[in-house]
Amino acid sequence: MSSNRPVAGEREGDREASEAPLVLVIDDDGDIRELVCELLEEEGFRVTSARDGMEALRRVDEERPSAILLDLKMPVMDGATFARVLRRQPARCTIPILVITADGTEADAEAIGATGFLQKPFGIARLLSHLKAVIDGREPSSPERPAEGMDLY
Amino acid sequence: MALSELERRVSDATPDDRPGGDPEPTASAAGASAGSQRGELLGFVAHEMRNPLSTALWSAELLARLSPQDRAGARGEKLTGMSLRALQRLRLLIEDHFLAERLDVRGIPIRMETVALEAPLRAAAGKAGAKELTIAVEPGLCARADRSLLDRALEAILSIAAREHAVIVECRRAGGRAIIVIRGAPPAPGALAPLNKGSASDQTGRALALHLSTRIAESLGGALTLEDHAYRLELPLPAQGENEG
Repeated sequence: MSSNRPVAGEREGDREASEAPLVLVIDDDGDIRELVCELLEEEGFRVTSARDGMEALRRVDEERPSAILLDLKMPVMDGATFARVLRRQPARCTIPILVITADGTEADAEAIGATGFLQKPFGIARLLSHLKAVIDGREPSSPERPAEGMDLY
Repeated sequence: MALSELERRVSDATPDDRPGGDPEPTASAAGASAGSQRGELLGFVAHEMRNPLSTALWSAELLARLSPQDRAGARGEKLTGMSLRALQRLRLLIEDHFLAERLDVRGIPIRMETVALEAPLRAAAGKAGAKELTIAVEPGLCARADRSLLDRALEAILSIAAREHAVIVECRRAGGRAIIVIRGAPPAPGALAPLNKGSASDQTGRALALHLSTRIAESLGGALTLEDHAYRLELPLPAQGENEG
């Protein structure tokens, strides 16, 4: 899955200005992986995905993503273990991680060195706002509401 | 009113304050334990509901972004399917949780009757989509059960056992009980362990369905256990003299 459309949120110096950030989506729920990848592509990001922490570590080595969307509760290797392993690797420890989970708290996310935290369920606008913020290294803006007031979270 | 009489009436009205009044702490401890178990189960269910809720929300949002033409096309169809699947998962989680909650806490009227086992087993297997099914019932074997609760438990267990496996059901009398052994997809280790917030994530709803089936079995005076990589549902037999089909 990839897209070459330009997008806001490119970290300066990381890549060519014309190349969209690559986001690694890690979630064991196949529908969620597919939907998040689809909507990120629609927003101009490039995407790759993994179903557990172990597969995600391989993806990080092979594809060097600009940001990671991380579920916590997963089989094989959970999100917390993945994040801790990643943070111990000097070459990878600065990749921003946005925790998106059905379980856990902001404190849990901070404890594993995550850059941001969102608890499911949340709307697309909020996800994009937080993702762009962690990529840009800034605080997310206040919850966005899309046109027609569809995003209630 | 004499002071002694007042003391007696106060004492009668507040038995917990009497010296040696042990019942209250015991009841509180039991209540706290039950409350804690309910809280753990609710934590699990709340977690399990968040994923399909996200799927339903996002697929609907993506659908809303599509042009009417695209919405009627393959992409629209896929997103609609995802949304419906997620909502079905939610519906089942909610139904199973509230039924388990009613059995645990508020009680539910249980109408025990004599049930010949083969018909409900075949009906449940049909609903569960079991493609290969073998049922062997000891002649004339019936159980005492609430038919609708038994149907729900059988449907849940058979649905889980039938996933990509042939299902073999054996029903027999043993130890004064009706025993139903359902063999198919092997149960995961700890498949019947109590659910709590730390339980592994379950995208299928099977964990909660098995919890509900366990509670149904208990409420019918029976039990659901694992036996030799199979599910073993134990139910009371009808009283002697009752029609055993």
